[in-house]
Amino acid sequence: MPDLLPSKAVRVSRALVENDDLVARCQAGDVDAFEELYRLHSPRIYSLACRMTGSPQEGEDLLQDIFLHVHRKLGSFRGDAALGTWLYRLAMNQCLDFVRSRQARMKGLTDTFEEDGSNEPAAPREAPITRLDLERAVQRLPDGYRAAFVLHDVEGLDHKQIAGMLGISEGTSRSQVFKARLKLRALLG
Amino acid sequence: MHPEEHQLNDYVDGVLDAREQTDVAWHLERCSECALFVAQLQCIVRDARALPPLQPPAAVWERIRAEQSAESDEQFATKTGSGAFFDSAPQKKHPTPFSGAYWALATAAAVVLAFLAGRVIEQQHQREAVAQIAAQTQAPEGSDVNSVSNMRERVLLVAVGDHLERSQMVLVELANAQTQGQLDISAERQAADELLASNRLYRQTALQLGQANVAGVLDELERVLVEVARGPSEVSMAQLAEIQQRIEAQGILFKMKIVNATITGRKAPVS
Repeated sequence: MPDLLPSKAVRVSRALVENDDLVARCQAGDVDAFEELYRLHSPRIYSLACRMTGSPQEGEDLLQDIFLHVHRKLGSFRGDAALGTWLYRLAMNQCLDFVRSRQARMKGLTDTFEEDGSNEPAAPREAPITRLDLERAVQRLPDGYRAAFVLHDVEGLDHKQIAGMLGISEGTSRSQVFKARLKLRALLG
Repeated sequence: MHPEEHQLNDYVDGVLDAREQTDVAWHLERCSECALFVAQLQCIVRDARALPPLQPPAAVWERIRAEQSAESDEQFATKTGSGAFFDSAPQKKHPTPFSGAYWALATAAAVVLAFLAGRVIEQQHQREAVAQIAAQTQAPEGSDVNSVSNMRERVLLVAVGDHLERSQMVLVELANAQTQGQLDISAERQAADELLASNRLYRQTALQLGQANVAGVLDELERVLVEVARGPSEVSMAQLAEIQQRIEAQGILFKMKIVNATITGRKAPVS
């Protein structure tokens, strides 16, 4: 049976052309185009925002801020990077700003976590871990641990990239991810 | 001798050197305790990588649209000069009975009416009403800045007082509910969902106006509302107890009463 699906290269170039068209329409002030852009990219950005902040409410507020920022900045988008990459980078910067400013406001969260000594699972778990269990447990991580964990284990960045983004050493990033996993193991039982 | 936990973690990430990797693998075949630890970490890593994207609530897009419209209107008004009333740049004006203070007062009254009608209007309309409060941050030329600021505060207090009363009714219902089996809380859930959008707007407005206490209570209220709005329509006895414990633990009803009592004392009629 012949392969009726377009090849990967064709699909990618078609997507790029569609993206260019979408950007051009957004830049021309087409409201429907901006909504289309939002529908296409908001789930990934919302997920990042929720997981980085550890709060669905803050994730919503951040998503709103990010897309308002995108709306203002789209005029300066020149297509040097793929639209998705540009959006993701912009969203990531806003998320990091948010986490940094909150960390500055709530200094000492990590210390509290270090002291609570609750890294052992309370009891063996009978039911399998669901996606929701994991999302909730991630929300309960201290900011520093959560940011490193989300960037490494969820978003798939390496420790060098994370170190650069969070302004920490690679060793600290490695250690934060390890401690986050220990804490999650305890939380998930 | 067991490997250290961090070594097992590095084994999961595959970053040990070849010899260590082999040693740990050899140990894991013989030690169920370490094997379980590694399996748990592997499970967390695998599940984290497979987390699907989350769908944002529809209300977020509505709020973005409302903000964009407000921004576009503002830009249009600036370009055409039709926004002169709210421009802070000096404008040459003819003497008129419709002075800055009069318009600020009239706008404030209109916003109060909009808020009171908020029980029936849709969420995006509430957003526009709040945007109006924000728009008044640009004091009309010639008006007394303090009096405009006081008016904005009063407008917010009227709206928040009303909002807190409605929220209180929902939380009191839940706090006093009893069940032996399943309990249908779909009405409270829907009410919480409706209150949630306005709550966020009032909280942001309160912050903008420097009402930290009001914003703090609204923030705590928001967390409870989210839990109810995002929870199931039918709850078991245990789930209900969990919600009640959340309401009780935060002392949110008490804090709401205090804020409401303070508001009642402060929201003198706009005159």
